[in-house]
Amino acid sequence: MTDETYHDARTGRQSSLALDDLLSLDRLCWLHKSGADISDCLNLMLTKAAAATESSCGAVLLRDERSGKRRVAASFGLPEDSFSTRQMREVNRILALGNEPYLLNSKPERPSPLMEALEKASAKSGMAMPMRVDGSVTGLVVLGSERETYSEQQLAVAGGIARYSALAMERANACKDSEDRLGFLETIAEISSVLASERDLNSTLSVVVEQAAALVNAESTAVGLLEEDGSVLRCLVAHGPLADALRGQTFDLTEWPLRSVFKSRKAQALVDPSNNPRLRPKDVETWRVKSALLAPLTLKDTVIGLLAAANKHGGRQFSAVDVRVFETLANHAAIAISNSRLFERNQRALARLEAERTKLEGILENLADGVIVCDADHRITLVNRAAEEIMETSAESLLGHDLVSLHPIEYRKVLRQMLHAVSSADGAESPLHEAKVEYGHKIIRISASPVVVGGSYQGFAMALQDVTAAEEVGRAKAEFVSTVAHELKTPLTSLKGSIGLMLASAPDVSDARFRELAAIAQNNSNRLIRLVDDMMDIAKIEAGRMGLRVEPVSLYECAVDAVKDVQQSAAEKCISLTVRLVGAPPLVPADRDRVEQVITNLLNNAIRFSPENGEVIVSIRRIHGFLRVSVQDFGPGIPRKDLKRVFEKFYQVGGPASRKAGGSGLGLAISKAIVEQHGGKMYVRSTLGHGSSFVFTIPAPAGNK
Amino acid sequence: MATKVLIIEDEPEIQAILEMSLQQVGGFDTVIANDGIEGIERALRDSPDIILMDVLMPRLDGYATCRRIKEDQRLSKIPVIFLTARTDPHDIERAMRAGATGCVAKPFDPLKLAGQISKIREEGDRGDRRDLPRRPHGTPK
Ligand SMILES: Nc1ncnc2c1ncn2[C@@H]1O[C@H](COP(=O)(O)OP(=O)(O)OP(=O)(O)O)[C@@H](O)[C@H]1O
Ligand SMILES: [Mg+2]
Repeated sequence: MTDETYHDARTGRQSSLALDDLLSLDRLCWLHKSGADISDCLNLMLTKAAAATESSCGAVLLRDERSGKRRVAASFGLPEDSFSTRQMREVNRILALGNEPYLLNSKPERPSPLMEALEKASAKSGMAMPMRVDGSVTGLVVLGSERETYSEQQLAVAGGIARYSALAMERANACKDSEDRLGFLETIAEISSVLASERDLNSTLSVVVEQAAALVNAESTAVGLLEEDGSVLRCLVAHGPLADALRGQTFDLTEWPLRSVFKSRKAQALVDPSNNPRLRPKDVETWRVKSALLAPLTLKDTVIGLLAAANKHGGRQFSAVDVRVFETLANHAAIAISNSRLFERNQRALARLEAERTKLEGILENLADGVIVCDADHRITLVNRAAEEIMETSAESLLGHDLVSLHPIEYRKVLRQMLHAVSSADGAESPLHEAKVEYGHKIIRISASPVVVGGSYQGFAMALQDVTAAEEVGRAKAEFVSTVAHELKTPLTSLKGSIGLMLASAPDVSDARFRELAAIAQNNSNRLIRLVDDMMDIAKIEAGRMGLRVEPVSLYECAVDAVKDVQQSAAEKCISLTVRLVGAPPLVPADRDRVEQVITNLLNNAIRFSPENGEVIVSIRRIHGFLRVSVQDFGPGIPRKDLKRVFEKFYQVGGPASRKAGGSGLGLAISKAIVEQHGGKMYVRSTLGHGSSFVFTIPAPAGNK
Repeated sequence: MATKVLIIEDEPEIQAILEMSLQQVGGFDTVIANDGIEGIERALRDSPDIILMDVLMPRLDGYATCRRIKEDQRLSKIPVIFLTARTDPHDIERAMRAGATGCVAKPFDPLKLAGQISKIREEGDRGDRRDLPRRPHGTPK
């Protein structure tokens, strides 16, 4: 659908509405013939035109039949002496330009006397519409408005009114028989209502052919539209005795007589067409009629079809007035057809949308998660059944309300922050934002994502998940972890403390075996402590309760501290540890202890898997909104198939049997969870036989220096 | 002059280890209390230079004890260091809110702890010592 057709159709509808008004005008013209004053008719026409175009003043300038001079036949809102010779000269100039409505404007270099006259009546814009039928000028309608300018539509409406007034006056002169005239008026009335109504193409075409028959008093009428490729005209709807023969038939545009109608874009009356030498022999049968009327259906300079009427031999021959009337009808029929096409297209699109909507609604209704959609002002526009259940209320009491104010006060701030983040998120960030809130006894996880249509933010959609049960389990787990922590760590504290003291006083003890055993006890108590810590970390991660203490952190300092932590075990294998800083990475919001824990884990692995005298390199650099930390070793590497799995808890390459290197297989699982909790990612690159590189990222929001 | 350390801890073994470590490092006098209530009494009587405080204790737990100490004008200047098995951010936050100077994760290295105490004494109480709680992950294998 192009904008043009739409606009055209709109204009068409507007002018067709004004057509109704013109009927009364036409009726007045007829009255005039039977004695009424023509200026009453014209005044009425002016009033109608002014109302349709929001004009504040106007006039009709006609040629006086006797003197041949122009005179003001009707006016309103203008002083009597508004139009002098200067204005009349401009009238002639405009009429010489053509049939189209004309916008008046007064420029210093090219003054418009008509506009000046309107300006005296405080108009700011003006237009002039020729009244012309078939080349013969009747007069000019001038309108002025206090608005800055007339719209295209107003221009088109006024143009239509002027044309119809001309036609009506002409018609009033031509029709002698009053009954004939009444019929004409009724037909126009019907057509105008068809043009104004929205209906499907077929019924529009049916009205057009029926009314065309009545209008020009024809036995048969038909309407044909161009096929998609524009080469063939197909008769779609026909009326009268020839209807059956015509319906569905196709016509070649390149043959007479269609060719000449399409070329001239004018209505034509044909007499005895079957005898015309230009007719192809094969078409003779089709055109065996006494008289035919053909009018192109034109929309914005494009011919879309043809309106035809025919009388068989013995029937009436069409007149010159018939041709004009027919052409006018064809013009309006074209607009009606385009309206109907648009209407049908809209109906189809609507039906598709409706089907889509029903489907989506079905899905939404049956979803276990609650769904709420809000507009950009946080007002709720859609609620599904699950959401009603979760919020323990009905859709009616939610729709249209501000989402935030429906929540308990203590959560409003969290929600506002989340929604702010949603609405200001750019494409680079993950568009999903989460929050947990309580409704009564329920704990609900809300995840929101923006609704963006054609690049503009329209609001957001939220999924509500009842996580009460999961949360209870999480709480119970956390409770358990904290109990275990205390129960296990109390004896471990005694153990570690006493061994430490034992070894510290060892210089006094000369027994080497005692010292060796104490060292073994110390190593293993440390290992046990680490294991307890790791198990508790895993439990916290799985319960979703690993809290972070976020503050601005220098990853470089973390790395240096982590290196200090593992210095001793590196020294035992004569491994060199290097921290490389690329550029000047900014501080990042992170939990310092946890990040150090990650780097320590990676370093411990790297040292464990490095050969004696090996090298381990930690490097830190900034890349697109993240800091990237890698820990590289030159050890045996990791087989391809294990690369993903090393992050699983308890997973160890080669199975637990190869545990000689120590460890329980939890370090990487914990590290990855910590990194992800920070909004980063962790992965590994490794070449078998050449070494491994464990890499993680931590978001570094822009602006953090 | 020796630094007087008040140990408020309900586990006799840990009491003993703390006492011995401080002796080993040297320069400390120790006073022991078995729970919070007793801890406050001893603090008032013995005016310690620093307090080491367990969290889970009968009668009055570490947080409440610390709060009372900080509310008491006679005691409020004494730095309190928590010894705790729970070092999650919110546990540490809670200790800090109660007025703690720092937290040390259990199990701790007693000799290192003694060193840290000396350091705090030397530097004077700077208030918030969030750098104290080191996770035990640095422990070499
Ligand atoms: N740098 C590395 N080079 C080769 N293999 C590695 C390396 N890092 C880890 N892996 C493999 O991944 C497995 C899992 O590592 P992870 O750190 O999770 O556990 P772990 O080191 O065995 O035990 P934990 O870290 O719990 O003490 C290791 O057992 C090892 O097989
Ligand atoms: Mg490991």
